[in-house]
Amino acid sequence: MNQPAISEAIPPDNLSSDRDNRQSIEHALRAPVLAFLISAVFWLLVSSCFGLLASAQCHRPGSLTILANLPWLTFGRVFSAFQNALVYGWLSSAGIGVAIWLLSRLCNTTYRSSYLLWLSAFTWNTGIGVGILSILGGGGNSRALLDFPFSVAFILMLAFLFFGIWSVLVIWNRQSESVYVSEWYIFAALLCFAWSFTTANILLNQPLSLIGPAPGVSQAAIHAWYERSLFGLWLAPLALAAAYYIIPKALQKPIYSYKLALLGFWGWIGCVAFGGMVAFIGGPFPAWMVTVGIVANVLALAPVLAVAANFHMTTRSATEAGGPRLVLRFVAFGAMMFTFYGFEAATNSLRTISQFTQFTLVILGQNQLFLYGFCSLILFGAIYYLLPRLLNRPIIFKGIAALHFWLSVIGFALLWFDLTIGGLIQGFGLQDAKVSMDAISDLLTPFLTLQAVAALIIFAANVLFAIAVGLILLLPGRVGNRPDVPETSMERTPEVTVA
Amino acid sequence: MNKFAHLFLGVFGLFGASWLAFVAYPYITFAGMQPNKDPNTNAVAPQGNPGTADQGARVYAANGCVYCHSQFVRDKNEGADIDRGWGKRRTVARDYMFDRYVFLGNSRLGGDLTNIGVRQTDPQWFYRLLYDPRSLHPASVMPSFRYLFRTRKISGQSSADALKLSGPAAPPSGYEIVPTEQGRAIVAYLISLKRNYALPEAPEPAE
Repeated sequence: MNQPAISEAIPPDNLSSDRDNRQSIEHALRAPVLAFLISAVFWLLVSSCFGLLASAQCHRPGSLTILANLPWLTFGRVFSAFQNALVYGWLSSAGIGVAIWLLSRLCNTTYRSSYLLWLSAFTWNTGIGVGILSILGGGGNSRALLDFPFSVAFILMLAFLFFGIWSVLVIWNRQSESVYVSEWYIFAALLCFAWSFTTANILLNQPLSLIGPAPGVSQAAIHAWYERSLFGLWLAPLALAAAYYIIPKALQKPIYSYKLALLGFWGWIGCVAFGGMVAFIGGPFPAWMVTVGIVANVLALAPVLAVAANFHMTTRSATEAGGPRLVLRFVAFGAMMFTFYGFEAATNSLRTISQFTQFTLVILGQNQLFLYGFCSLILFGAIYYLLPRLLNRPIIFKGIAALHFWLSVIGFALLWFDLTIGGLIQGFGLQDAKVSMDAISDLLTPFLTLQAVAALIIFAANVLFAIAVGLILLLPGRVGNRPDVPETSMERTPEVTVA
Repeated sequence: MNKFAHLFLGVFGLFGASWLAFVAYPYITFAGMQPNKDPNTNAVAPQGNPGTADQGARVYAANGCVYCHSQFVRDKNEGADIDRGWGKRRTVARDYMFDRYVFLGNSRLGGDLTNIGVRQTDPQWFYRLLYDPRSLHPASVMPSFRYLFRTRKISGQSSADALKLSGPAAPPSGYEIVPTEQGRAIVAYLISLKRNYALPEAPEPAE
């Protein structure tokens, strides 16, 4: 890697000469970005409805006998619909929307066409809609996050192809010399998602190919690899790209260290995809596969800490005067949860600890920590940051957004503590053969009740988010030239001090 | 383009290494697997599944059973699976070589099903569990799968796999509750889950 230019330590769209270009980019992209973001909010609401229904079924399966006659609302299908709507519907669509905006801004691209993006948004949402209906209708595969039947996966691949071609054209026609950290992450995410999603779907779900389904337990190995790549090399990079853009912009100062950013990026890319097999400690695999997974998850702590240190040093000693504090609150909380997730993933991989956490609710809590605490919170912040700029409206409904923040944090924290404590009790029970499965079910009852309460709070938070987004979209704002927007003051070239 | 080329090569190399290790390697290794032939008895294990079991595996997949039930047994030093009676030995790759759908699972809100066909052999037990899980396990959070059954008028003899229910759950007289085709298929699949043959790479641990 070359010696960093100073401009690489800050998002490089600060030059006033670029402003005209940026406005024209924004004008061209406004509609397709909005299409992705609005559909993302819709899928978030759909997923939290399913989440609520799934947790209610766990809470009182006996009293919901009406559901026993409705195959499309049975727990297994609803839970799967919940996960897929959350990951592909909400996180991926929102991530793509934010990535489109970041990529074209940071590349300062001359490419203007949004035709491919429209095609992509339409295909992507069709795919997710059909996919969720087919899961509910009994066409799912019961492979977590690969539940969509192959035909649906194929639609999603097409949608992603359109988005991918658009991204390549944007990068090809870029004007900026430097490549900012956010661009590294987005680029890696594009490559890894395309690769892992096609591999996994062709090898596992393709019904009549010569090479699928993969033989025996290699199915489980490929699935574990895919799931880890999906989390670590698709969702995480999109969220981190947003954080690397928003934190320095909101604080009006450059990222603390280019070297830490490099370490955080390459270390993460190098470790994370190797860590999937920890789901099968003690499983029917050669011992090295699981051991590599454990080592990779522990090593991944280094890049996680590098990213955390970088964000911490950037925000430390920052004067918050006038900055969009609410946006920063979302992003900073999400970034902290990323660090926390790194620690939990490493801890739960160690054999001494995994004997009590494997197979339990702890793992569910760990996934929610990643999906909600980390990715969703950063994307909430990113959307609050992006929407007023995209629409040239200064208004962000601070009261609703602040309430949304606290409800999501409280709901998420309750969910995580509940699943972790309940899961540990379950784990200690499972490890002791004298404790019957019935006794464990008894012990878990209060935790499953509390889980439903947490799901309800998160549902309320998500509804508030949808209302806030709807208000920004629908109410007439002060549409005018850039200088009318207060945030413009931050877009002057900040005084750069690179550590 | 130079910097994006570096980026591409770096990501391609690192992610490609994980692809080789966790996709290509297991695919090739497990594709070349052979069943074990016992040198003394000439018995071959494992054997393939009957066709109805494969249909049942589809029903198992469609209803998301895997989100609460695992299908692998760990060694004695890794967990209490063997002490719980979920199997006499750990499961190894060869146990799954003929399975078109492998559901190892990573949640045990319900019990492990690796050897459920060894522990329970009576279809009636499975039908009752699926129809009303809490009649067998009062604290269970398993959903009830009544849609895998239908109530029909008894014509002539009542059918052999009709549910034996009593009290308020029983159907009106002259009617019976029988499993649908899907219900029969999933029970056939569950009963086929028997990994109780001997394999040299996974000896039964001493008591």
